[in-house]
Amino acid sequence: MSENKIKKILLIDDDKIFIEMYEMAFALRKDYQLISAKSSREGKKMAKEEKPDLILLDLVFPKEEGLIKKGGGIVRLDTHAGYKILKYLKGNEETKNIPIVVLTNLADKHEDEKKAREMGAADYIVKAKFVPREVIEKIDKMFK
Amino acid sequence: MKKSKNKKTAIGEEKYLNKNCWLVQSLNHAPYSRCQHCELKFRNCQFLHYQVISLILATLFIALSFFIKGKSSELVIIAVFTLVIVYGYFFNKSTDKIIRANFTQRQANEKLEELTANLQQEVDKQVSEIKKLLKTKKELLDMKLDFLQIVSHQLRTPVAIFYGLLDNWKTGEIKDYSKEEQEKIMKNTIAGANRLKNTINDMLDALERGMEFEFKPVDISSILDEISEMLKPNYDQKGLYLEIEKTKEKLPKIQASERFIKDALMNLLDNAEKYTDKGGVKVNLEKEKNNIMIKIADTGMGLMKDEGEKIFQTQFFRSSRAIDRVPDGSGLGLYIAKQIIEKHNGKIEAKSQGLHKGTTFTIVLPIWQK
Repeated sequence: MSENKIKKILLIDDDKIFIEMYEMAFALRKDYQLISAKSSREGKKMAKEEKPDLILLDLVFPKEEGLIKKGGGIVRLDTHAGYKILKYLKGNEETKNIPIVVLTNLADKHEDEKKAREMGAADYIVKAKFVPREVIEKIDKMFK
Repeated sequence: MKKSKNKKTAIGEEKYLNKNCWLVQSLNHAPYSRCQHCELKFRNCQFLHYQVISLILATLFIALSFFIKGKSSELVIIAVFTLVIVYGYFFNKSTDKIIRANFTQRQANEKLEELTANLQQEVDKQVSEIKKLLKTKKELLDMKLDFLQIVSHQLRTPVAIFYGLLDNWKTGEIKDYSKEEQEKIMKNTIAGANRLKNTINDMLDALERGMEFEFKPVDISSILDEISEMLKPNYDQKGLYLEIEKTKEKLPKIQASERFIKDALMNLLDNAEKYTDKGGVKVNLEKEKNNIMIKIADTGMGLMKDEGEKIFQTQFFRSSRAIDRVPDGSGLGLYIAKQIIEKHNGKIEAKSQGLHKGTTFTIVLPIWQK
């Protein structure tokens, strides 16, 4: 891979503040361009259209018809929404070769991580354990 | 057709009751009897057979007697007649017995079928109850796991945010950002912290509403002994004493949910150890009217004038000295302990002579009233 090419990273996550945090972190790296998608539908669409070099995927998304409490309270969450996206991306001709790194707060190694890796995730990172800078370092290593 | 005989053999058995019996049809009216067991009307065919056949035979023999000459002919007729009657009687009786036996058997079979059906129904009912319970248990377990999964996720998410953002200050990268960007980062850091606070509040609310208290008589001194055993190693390690004063007379039991009271008291004794550097903690119990009073006195860092109430009031209140001493305490322990004690219709308060002069927590809990 050419060292000078700007690598496109697609972040699929429902959390606006989380996306902003990563946008800030990637803003300091001129060799990466971060694009983001806030829903599973948007994520699938962008993956096909933009053809990123890497996808960062969350696993937990709000339930489509769920209740959302203001102020960041308890939301109706679908803890398996991300797996559906992962399966789709790995099955789709246009996106199956893009490496996918799961970036989530589900921390069960035996269930969540195992399932994600079995479904084709290249890596599994727990958000609360690594700051954006460290995640970017991991991405650097992956591209080497 | 004697009615009295009908009563004795009053049974309805198809084998012996032929509705198409030519005798019955030809006679065109048949004696009806009521079965004393099943109330079915039936026609006494065998009677007709017996009665009619006897008549026919008698007629035949009378006719025959005209052909037999001599005295012996009358004797023969009488003998045959007697035989016919006797035979008929015994035939009747034996069929009667068979019919009765069959009926009894059929009745027994019917009863058995009924019992079996009932038993089967009962068993099915029990099995479906058990299946329902197992399903509920599984559902509850799944719900619990889902809940835990979501709770841990919800607590980690805001932490990831403000921890991730604070990293910028840690590495010094914050200076690489423009002023607007720095403001945005600061705003988001605070938003993350707020979100965590709100999440915890919501969860506590949900938990408090959902706390099921089952009150039973509980022996407070044995609970304190258990807690003391668990915490003693921590006390010993710091060189602190932990004394639980025994009263001379046995104290009455309190009205409590053992699990929750234990949590509350454990929290208090754990706190006492954390905020005490030298000396130790003394616990004494006494009966006061309808309550038991528990005093937990430590020789630790004490409270300032206004802190006695504040430490219970808000969920996250931690004095700066407390934060210095125990940097990662959540500030929830005393709040929860107070909730628990108040749910037990008790009271808790904290008093201190001042900084470094130790603190005494006084808890009052009602005695178990039968």
